[in-house]
Amino acid sequence: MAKLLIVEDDLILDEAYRKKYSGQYDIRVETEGEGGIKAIKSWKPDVVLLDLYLPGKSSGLDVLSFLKKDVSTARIPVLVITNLPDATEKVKAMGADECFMKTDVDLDLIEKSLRDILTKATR
Amino acid sequence: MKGLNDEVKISGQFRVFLLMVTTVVLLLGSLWIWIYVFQSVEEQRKAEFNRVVETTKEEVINSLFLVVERLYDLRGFITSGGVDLEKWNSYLLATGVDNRQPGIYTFGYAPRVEKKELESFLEKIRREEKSPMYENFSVYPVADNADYFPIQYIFTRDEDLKSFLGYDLGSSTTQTAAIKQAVFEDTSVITDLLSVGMVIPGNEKVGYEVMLPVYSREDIGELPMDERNKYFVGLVGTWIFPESLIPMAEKEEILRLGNIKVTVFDGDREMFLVGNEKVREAEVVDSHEVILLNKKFRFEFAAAKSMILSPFTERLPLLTGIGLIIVNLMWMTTIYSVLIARRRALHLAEEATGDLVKFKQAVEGVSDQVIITDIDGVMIYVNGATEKASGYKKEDLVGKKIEFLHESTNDFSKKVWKTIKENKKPFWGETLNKRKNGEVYEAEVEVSPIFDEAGELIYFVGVERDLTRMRAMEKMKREFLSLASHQLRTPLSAVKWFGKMLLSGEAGKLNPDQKGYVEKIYESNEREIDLVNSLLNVSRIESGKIVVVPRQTDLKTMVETVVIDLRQEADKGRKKITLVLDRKIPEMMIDGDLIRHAYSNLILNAIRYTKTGGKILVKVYLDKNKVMSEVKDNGIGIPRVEQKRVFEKFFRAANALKKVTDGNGLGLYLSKTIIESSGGKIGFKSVENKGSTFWFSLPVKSQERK
Repeated sequence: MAKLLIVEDDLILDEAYRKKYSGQYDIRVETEGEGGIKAIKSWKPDVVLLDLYLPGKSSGLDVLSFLKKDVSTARIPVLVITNLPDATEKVKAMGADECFMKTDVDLDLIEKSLRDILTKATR
Repeated sequence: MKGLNDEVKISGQFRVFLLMVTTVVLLLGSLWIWIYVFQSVEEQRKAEFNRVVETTKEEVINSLFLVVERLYDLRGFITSGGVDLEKWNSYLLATGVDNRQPGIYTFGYAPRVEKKELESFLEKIRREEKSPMYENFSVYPVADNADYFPIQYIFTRDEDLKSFLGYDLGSSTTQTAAIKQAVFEDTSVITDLLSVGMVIPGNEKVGYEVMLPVYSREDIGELPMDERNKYFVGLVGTWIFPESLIPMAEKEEILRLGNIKVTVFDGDREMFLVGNEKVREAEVVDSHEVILLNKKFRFEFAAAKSMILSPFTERLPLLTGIGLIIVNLMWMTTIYSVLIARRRALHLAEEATGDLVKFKQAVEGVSDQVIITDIDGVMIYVNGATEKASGYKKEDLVGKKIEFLHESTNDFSKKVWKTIKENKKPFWGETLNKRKNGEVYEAEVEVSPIFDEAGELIYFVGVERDLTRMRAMEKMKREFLSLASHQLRTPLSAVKWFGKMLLSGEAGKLNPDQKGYVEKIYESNEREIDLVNSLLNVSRIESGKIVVVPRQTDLKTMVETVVIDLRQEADKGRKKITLVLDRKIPEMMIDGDLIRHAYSNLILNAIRYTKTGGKILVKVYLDKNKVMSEVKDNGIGIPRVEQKRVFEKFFRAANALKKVTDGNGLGLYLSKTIIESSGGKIGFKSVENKGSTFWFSLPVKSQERK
């Protein structure tokens, strides 16, 4: 099972992720940027679902930037799922594979995208 | 603030001061002139009076002299040839003495009759004199003297005086002494005052007798004095009324002058001579002693102030006074009216300039920049806000061209000048200005041409507003909106995700009712998401933050996708979408996401505002160097009066509000912004209840990234 790291502070959405994906993925949820970074370092996920607007010292952008800087983690694909507008261009430039507005997608679409990314990454 | 007004006041006050000084000078001058005239007149009066006094004195003396001269003539006549009544009368008539003798003249001859000869003398007269008046001739008053001097001949025009015939001139002792003296010295003497009443009881006339002794020898002057009495034979005399001392001509002169009274005093006895007897309270009195024939007389000249001089001269001070008062009054009236006019003018000016001052203060203090330029754009006035915004001092700006403050391009300037100078219309727009420190800032500018009454352009008034603060506010608003939309979206996404899961049956199969309800929740949520997205877009557009990212895009495929996506929606109302695509359309450099939004917006509107079974035609074709897109429907259309506002933010036509309740009024506004941001144009034609055709054009050529 692929390891999916979810960095999302909204507990309800976390619950939705869990409900939907726990059968298909090995899921770990972090609600703060700091925790996300630690998890990336220690747990080495196969793919990251990343929110941008996070509480604590590090934002989603910090997490992305950390991940892409470290050679050992740089290849981990990142799917940015956010509600902050005008982020797409920026995060893609930073190395994110995909970026969705939460309200534009649903869990099925995200799952489809995840699969595509993983397929691409493992290819 | 010391303004024009105050300067006017100050110079005005100086003028008022001058007027006051002039008035005082005029008043004092008038007074001086009046005093001068008054004194001149008084001096003239005095001189005139003195002249009268002197002349009268002279004339009196002259008269007496003349009388005495006559007496000497008469004596010579008597001495040389004796005398009888006939000779006497004819002599006096022939000499015509009455032409020169003052007043009523009377001459008499009284022989010296010794006491012992008195009877024979009377007899002789009664015998010899033929005239009837001698019939009862007698000597009176009866006195016992050594010598008698009865008047034997009398020549007079005064009938009363004829009664003196026979009167003894030596009847009183004083007169006897006087006669003795006269004989001794061979000189004329004057008697005391005699009253006609002595001979005619009740007669009030008084007078003097001037007497000259007659001798029987002609050479009497050569004889020693004490021998003269031997040859002394009689007296010639003349009667003088006191008033006759002054000759007629002089009397007339005094009477002409009016208020002069001349009286003569013989001792205490006062006798009025001539003039106005009514002069009682004389203001000028001149008293002169005159010795006439060794007798002292005192002449008193009294004059009332008035009427001595000619009426004109007399009235001169009065006339001058009146004239001066009139001049002064006229001057003061003038001054008064000038001052009143000035006060009114000042008042009006105060009112007028008060408004001006207010206007100026308002313009000066207003927070917008106010700049007045001449018709060539040279600044002639800038207000405080302009100084503050530009960083330049007024004196740095006035005289310079308005472009000095602008950072905008020439094209912008041309556009402004064309509007205000050629078209003579106000210009409104946004521009870039430059501060003294080089900082460039956005400003909203409104320039109005100002015309004079003849319609001639006289200057321009520009009002500019520094938009820096507004932009900062906008940024804050934008950031707020951005964050707010993020926060709004979070719960919406949860609803969406869980709703979707419910509907997909992952959490167990829903019965039809449940499914229907969840679908309602889901759709409402979708609408909410749409609204939040639109709001965000609006905020982005308004902040100029909408980013057009042109990419090589296959427009045909994109349009097809949109139509396919929306066909599902159209099918719900059995509405038919027809797509006509020009296959020649090449790939274009456009921002696909944004343009797609515009297409879907227009087509979605067409679906929404078309009745069930309506028809929608989407036509995209190449027209020269641009791609034309049309979305035509046979729907409710847009009311004519509301067509102007269709592209306004949040605007919704009245009929659209009834038809579709969930529109947010942002779609067309966003579409217009997207198309125009992409270098295209957008428009529509619409007839209410017939349908609308929305169109937009996009340039085929690639577009620069904005």
